[in-house]
Amino acid sequence: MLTTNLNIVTSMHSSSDTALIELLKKDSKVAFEAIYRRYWEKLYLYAFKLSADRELSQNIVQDLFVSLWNKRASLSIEKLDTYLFQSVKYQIFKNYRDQKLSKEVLESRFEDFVIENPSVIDDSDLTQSLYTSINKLPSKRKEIFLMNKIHDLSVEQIASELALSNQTVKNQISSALKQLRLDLQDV
Amino acid sequence: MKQGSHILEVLIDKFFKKRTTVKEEKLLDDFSEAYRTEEAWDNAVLGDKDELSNRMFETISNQIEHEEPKVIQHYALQWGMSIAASIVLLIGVFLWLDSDEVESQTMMFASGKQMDSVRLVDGTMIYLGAHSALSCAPDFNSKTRQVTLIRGNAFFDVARNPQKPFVISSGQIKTTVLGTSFNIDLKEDNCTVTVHTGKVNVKSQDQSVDLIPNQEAYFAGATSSLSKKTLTNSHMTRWYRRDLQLENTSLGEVLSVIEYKFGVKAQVKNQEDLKTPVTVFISHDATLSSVIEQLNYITGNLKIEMYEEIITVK
Repeated sequence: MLTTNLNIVTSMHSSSDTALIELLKKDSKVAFEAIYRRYWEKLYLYAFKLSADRELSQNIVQDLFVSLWNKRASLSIEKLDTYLFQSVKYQIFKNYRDQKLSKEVLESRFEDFVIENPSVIDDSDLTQSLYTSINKLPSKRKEIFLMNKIHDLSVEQIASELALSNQTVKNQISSALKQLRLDLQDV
Repeated sequence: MKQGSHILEVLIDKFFKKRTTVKEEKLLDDFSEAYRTEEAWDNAVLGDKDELSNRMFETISNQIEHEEPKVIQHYALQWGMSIAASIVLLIGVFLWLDSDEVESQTMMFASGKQMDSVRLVDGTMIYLGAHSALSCAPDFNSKTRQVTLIRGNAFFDVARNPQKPFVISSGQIKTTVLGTSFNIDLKEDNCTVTVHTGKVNVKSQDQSVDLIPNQEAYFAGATSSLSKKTLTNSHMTRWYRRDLQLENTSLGEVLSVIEYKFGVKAQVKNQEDLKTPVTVFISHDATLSSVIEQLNYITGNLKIEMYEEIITVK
């Protein structure tokens, strides 16, 4: 089946997601394979990024496509890519909750995200606690951290502004991150 | 939530309990969105990409081709049969037409050494006897519902739909129904349609008979003739059931049930023996040898033996 359909799969490369879904609803395995070829890698890389677990990523993507086929008749998908990525996210969260993946990986991804993007989480309990943590930092460290993360200044820019060595700035930032991580881990 | 939980644990716990605030929801969205980056595949970390892609697709294909057999497995379990690798579950034959948009698929279902069941999209349930095969028209359930019994024996429990007649071709005859249950047994030189419930019409090239429950149409290939008869005390149409209580039934009929269920052939030395009345209970988890043992015990003077896939009665 794989080889005989190859030319059709190729010609479907240009079809829109919407057209592919319509065909999928009519039980088209060719459309199904085209969707797989289009998305499997991105979905796999996404799952792997969040879990650092190859086997888990593979299983999540496989199960997702099996379920896409099984549910094809009742699908109401507006945006295929959103649907697929959301499904992977859901599975990652589920595996995290059920402790079926190494929790540290997802947690450190989350810490990275929060610390790198303090502005995205404004006005929540979490921001409050993050800012409380930032405020607890020694003043020099806090200043460097804010210059780097909030004002988006590079290590070099901060170093020249404060007349410090690059290494000192780096050390201060990493100590700040370490402290903030610890605070995030214990709410 | 216990103390010392990671903040992510708290958030995900709330997420599954649907207790996240709008902002927390957005935070989780933004967080997961942030890792949707376009990164290149790293062969060193992830292995060969094409190999993995094909291997995964194969796994997926295997699972979805067995989608209907999920039903089959379910029933196989109910019947207490081992789901041996020998079960030939489902073979999809795909015929691709010239257009990119329109494609035609003829689905074929085949059973192996044991009976299987298949649920069609319209809700019709088909129980395939051992070594039987069935195919579905490409446009099944569009205007009509057409299937072909290619070989063997099948019990049909057709979902009622007066707008879309259900037509089964078997050899030279066509059976048309709207919603009913009946059995078709296709042999090399004849074909029998036995009605369990509802009304059924059976047509050969130049003859047509209407059947009601407990009636049977018999088509003889040699003479191309179609005849009808009324059955008394027939258990044949119920061969697919979970537990079978066959009371005062001829040995011949019991052997047919066993043939369907276990995919074996019976050879009887003395045809008169087939009329021997027996009462047996074949439970869903009965093994072939236990049924034969039971029959031997009941019939006393007969010797029923099994060698490979042949049952002999002496």
